[in-house]
Amino acid sequence: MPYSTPSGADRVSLDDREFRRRQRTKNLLLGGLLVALAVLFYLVTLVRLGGN
Amino acid sequence: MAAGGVRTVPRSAGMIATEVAAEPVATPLDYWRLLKPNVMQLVVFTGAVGLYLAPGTIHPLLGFVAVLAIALGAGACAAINNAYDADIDRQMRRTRGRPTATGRIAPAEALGTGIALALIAVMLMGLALNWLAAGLLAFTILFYLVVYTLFLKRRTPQNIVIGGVAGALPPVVGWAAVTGDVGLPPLLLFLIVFLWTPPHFWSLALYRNEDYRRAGVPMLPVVAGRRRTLRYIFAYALAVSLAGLLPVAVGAAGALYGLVALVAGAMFTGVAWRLLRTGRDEVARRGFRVSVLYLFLIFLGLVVDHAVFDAFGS
Repeated sequence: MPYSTPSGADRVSLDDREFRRRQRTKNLLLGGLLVALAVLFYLVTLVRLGGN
Repeated sequence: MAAGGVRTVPRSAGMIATEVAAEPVATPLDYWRLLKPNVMQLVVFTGAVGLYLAPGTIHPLLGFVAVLAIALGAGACAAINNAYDADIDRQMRRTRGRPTATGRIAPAEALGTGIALALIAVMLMGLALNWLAAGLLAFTILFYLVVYTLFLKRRTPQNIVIGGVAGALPPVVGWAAVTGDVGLPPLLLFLIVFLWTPPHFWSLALYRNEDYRRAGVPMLPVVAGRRRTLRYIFAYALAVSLAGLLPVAVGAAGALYGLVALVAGAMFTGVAWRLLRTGRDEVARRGFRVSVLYLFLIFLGLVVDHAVFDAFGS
């Protein structure tokens, strides 16, 4: 859990959990897209340096 | 209220609790919808055809990157357009489900996404292909956003006529990505898409007239009335059908394409003529669908004609 609920005073609602889950999914997707972009730039560099 | 529906609320001394507001939270599908995939696929298709028809060869990966850059550019336009038009999108039945209209994605976030995509698209095109194609792509994006979205859309019934420049440029971008220059054939493709845009959108505006009126968007049927719009639709449909024959006239395409252009043009002009005679909403709907089919057939015809010519020679 990325955040704490002090002494149970704050209840973590289902909506809250769902929100965190979607945030995590969004972050993972964004990270994946950035990695894919880096790989793409690398491959483009290889092709361009190959004289094509 | 922060973007995404989260707010921090002070509960007691020294303690901050996180609450989730009642608004729905964006899913990956919302971000996909933010990019208007339906519009994007037409842009990608015409851009890819421009790339395919261009003389010369490029590495398949670079071809893929060029198409990807065009797609990202289209997505960037859509995201920024969604951010700016969230207020009018909420008032129209056709657009009120868009993620910025429902509040699932904040306009600021849509704007940020769009700017990031635009920068990536132009840089990709420039570094992987050439800077003429990148410049044309940047011009396309800026024209769509600044000229069409900011200045024309809410001000004049000529919005989609002049704004059509942006939608017509992707085949030129695709061509330039391969050749590094712009010749007559891509300019003919530009002309075809440019003339095709008004009857396409005015057909839609006819049967969505109330939507546009309520939102205060001065589409031609709202400003000039139904009768005049019908005449303009027919005139443009006839013009684009004739322009569709130009690639044959200048020797940029063969007889096979000419046949396709004749049939598709007759179909498009025919439905525009029926629309002019009847003025009915269901014919306008059919006109809208036929306009999409027309553009698809024209560009597919060019691809097939080119492939046949490559395979069997003149």
